Amino acid sequence: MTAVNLKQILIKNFRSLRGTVAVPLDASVVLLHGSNGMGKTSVLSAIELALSGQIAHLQRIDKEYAKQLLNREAEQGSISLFTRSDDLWTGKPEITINLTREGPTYSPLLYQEDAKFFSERCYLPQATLGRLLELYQDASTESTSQLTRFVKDLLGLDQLDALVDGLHPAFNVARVRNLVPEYRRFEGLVDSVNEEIGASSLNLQTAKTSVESDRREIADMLNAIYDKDVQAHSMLGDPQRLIAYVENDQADNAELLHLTSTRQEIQSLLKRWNDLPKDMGTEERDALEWEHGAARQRLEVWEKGDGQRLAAAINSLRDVFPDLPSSSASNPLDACNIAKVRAVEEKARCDRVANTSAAAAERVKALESELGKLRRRIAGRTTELSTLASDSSSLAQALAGIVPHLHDENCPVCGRNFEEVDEGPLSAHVSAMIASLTSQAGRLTAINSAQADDLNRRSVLERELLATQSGVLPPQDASNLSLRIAALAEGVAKLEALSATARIGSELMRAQNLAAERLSRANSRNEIAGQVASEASKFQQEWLQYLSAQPFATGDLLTELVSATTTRVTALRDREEKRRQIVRRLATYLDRLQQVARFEDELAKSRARLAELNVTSSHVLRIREEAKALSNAARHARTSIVGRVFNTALNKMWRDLFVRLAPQEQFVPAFKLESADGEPVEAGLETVHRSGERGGPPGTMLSAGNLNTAALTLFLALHLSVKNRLPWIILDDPVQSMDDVHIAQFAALLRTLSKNLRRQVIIAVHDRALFDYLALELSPAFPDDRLITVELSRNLAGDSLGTPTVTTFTADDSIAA
Amino acid sequence: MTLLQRIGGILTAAGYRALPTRFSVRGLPFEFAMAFVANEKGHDVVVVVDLTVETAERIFVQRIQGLARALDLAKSRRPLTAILAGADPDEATIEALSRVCRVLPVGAPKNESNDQALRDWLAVLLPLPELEDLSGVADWEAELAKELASAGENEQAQKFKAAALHNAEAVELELSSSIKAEVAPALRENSV
Repeated sequence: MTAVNLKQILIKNFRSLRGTVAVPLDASVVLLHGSNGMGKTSVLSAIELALSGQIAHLQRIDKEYAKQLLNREAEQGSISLFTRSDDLWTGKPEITINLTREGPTYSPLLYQEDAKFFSERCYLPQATLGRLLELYQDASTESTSQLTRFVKDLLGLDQLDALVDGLHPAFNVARVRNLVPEYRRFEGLVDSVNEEIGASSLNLQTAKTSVESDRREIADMLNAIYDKDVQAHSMLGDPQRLIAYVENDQADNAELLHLTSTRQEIQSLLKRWNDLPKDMGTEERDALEWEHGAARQRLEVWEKGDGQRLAAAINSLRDVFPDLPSSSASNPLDACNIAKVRAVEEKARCDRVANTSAAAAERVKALESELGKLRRRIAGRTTELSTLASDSSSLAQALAGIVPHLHDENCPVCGRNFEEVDEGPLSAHVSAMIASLTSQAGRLTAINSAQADDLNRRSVLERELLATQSGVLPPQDASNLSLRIAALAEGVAKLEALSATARIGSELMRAQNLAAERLSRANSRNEIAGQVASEASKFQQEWLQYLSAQPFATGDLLTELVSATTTRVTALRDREEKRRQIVRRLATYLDRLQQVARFEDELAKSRARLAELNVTSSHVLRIREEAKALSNAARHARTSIVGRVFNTALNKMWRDLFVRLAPQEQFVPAFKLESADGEPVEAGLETVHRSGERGGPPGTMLSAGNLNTAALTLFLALHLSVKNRLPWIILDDPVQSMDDVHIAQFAALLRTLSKNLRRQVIIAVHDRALFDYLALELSPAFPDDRLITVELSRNLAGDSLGTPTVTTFTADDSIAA
Repeated sequence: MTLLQRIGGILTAAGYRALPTRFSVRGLPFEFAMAFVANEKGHDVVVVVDLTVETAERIFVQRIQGLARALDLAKSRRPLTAILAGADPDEATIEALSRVCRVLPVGAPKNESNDQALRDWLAVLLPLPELEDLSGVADWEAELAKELASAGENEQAQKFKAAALHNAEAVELELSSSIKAEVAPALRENSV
């Protein structure tokens, strides 16, 4: 163990200490003395605060204790702690804490884990001593009593605890659900698949029942139509084939087809019959005959008189229009009007042709006159042009090209001297020649241009002449045309005159036609009645078996036939409808069969799914079982480790310490480990008689003094259970209710702790005699051993005073052998 | 072995040095059945009174008081311990002696093989037994393996143990993720 001494502490205005107190701590034993209220506990608390950052026993009582740390009469205070070593126990060798009303601000000297160790196992405040046993045994909440916690901290059972705590949910399915929401969903899934199976089973049952009843119903329906058809019944198991069989059943079709057409025929016969006019009497028929004869006679009279004339008039036009209708064959008025219109139109056309021809003849005359003039002018110009040299223009240009070469009177062309002719200078001659030639060329151009115009004009006129000549009728034709126009005019005039006659003819003809038609209709009625009756009797033979009565009147017979065929058609259609119903019923039956198959399929699938899910369930169960097994194993392992450590090591240490202080006490306190199998370890306290018998808990078995001793030794045993931790033991007035014998023993124990185990021991006591006794007992026993005693008091002003005395080793030679 | 021999054996084994039965303090002679001084780490003076021989209590009380006074006069800081062996002394005797020294009335303990009763009386004079560091003594894995020996260990247990190296939350997470992994395919299939 590294010897790390606390060196000194400077305290200013801290709790009950007012003013500044310096307490030297640089000794293996420090004894603090002071009567009550002088600040012993404050000094020790200051040490704790500086080292660990808290005052644990105050913390337990008042969470806000930090605000009460400054002395009530002071504005500010401080604590400075110095250590003798710059060892790594602490982050730094010294610390200063400033105290304010809001509490201290600093980071403590010790690391967090060490600070905790210090508070629990290095410093025993007076307030805690009395309650230590209680404190350690207090298990207000499960497995968190300080003793149990100590056990776990001590033994490093975190891993086992982690297993026990972490696997805890595996023991209860509700906790598993909370931990793994997916598992809850999975269970829901299993439930829903089970529900699906239930629903599918029910559906299947219902569907099967329906199929059964359908089958019976269809069998009944088949009986209605196919009562003797064994084949149809045998197909009941194969609805699709049965459907095809019924759908293809054509037995009644031919009859129905025939019956339908027959009925239509009969119905149309009946209609014809009903449409026939009433049979008339002989007198009425005679009147019709007479009327017809009279009309006919009147028409004939007209035809022989006026009609002849009209026909003649129309015929006179037939040369021109061979296709005209004749007045006798068609309506005379129409024939007259058509002829008239055609004649008028033809006449107008002929007039137009005659006029055009005349106009063309006029134009031919004018054109011929103009052409004559034009031809003569052209001939004149042709003569003039032949006299004019055609190349005068180019010759003039050639001569102009010579002019620059005329230097004297010698002709550059022929080389002769011009003076020989004596007609002035050569250059003047040439210039006159050029001017004459140029003038001729201009005239030639003008004549050519005029000639071209006239030639053009001539060809235009000649073409027009040819065209116009073709429009002139030859004289023969023109004469014929005149005759035709005259004939047409005459024809039109005649027809105009005969217009009224034609109208009368038309009227007569219409009256005659009407009378003829009436007569003919009367004649045809009897013929039809005969035909209908014959047809009806033919059907009567065919339908004899279906007729309920056999009437002779044609109308009644037809009505009866209609009724019979209708009944038969209805019967056939009814059978047809029944077949259709069977087919429909079979279709739903088929659906239902498919439904059954579907439900069976669903059920099989759901069952398969459930089987899969059950496998998963079993896996989860296996994980839980493994977790439980491991958790239980961890629990047992923990119990067994704790048991071993406590029973062997810790109890031995505690016993040793306790026995030192109370050698006469027969009951020795001990840790008791209660653990029902599988339950977490719960550490408790008990007493054991020296004979080995178990006694009751310390509280009931020990005297007050020995209880105090038990607590003190428990604290020391816990402190000593860990080696190489913090080398300090700080006790605040640890001797309570102890008699002198115990105190002497206690002093010896302290000495052992200090001298043998090298702990720095700091003790505060209020009893003067005890202080003196301890000062003697703990006095230095070897070189470098040192004792510091500090007397705490106050001056008259009430400021705290700390008066230290340092005792060093001096060889003691008082005893001689 | 006599009681005195047993006491002497225990003390010398604990490093005490035996003084002659006759010794002097500042010239004043004293005689006890046995006397010892502590080793270099202590300076106790231990005297043993054999009550089987010295039956006159007044005389040996006076002698011890005299020794104490002599030490005082010599300004000695040596603590004095008196071991009263052989018989149970009177309460008055013990009280009288307690004012001047530490009294260990060992009486006449049984002669046991380990002298436990005697050692208990003398414990205060003996050094503390060798301390055993109990922190981290437990090999939890080995202990657990012992527990699981019958059940055997599988992959799942290994995973839990690996998680236990962190904390309970990690173990719980391992448990929940294992279960989750089992049910996940079924849930996924269902949601498809």
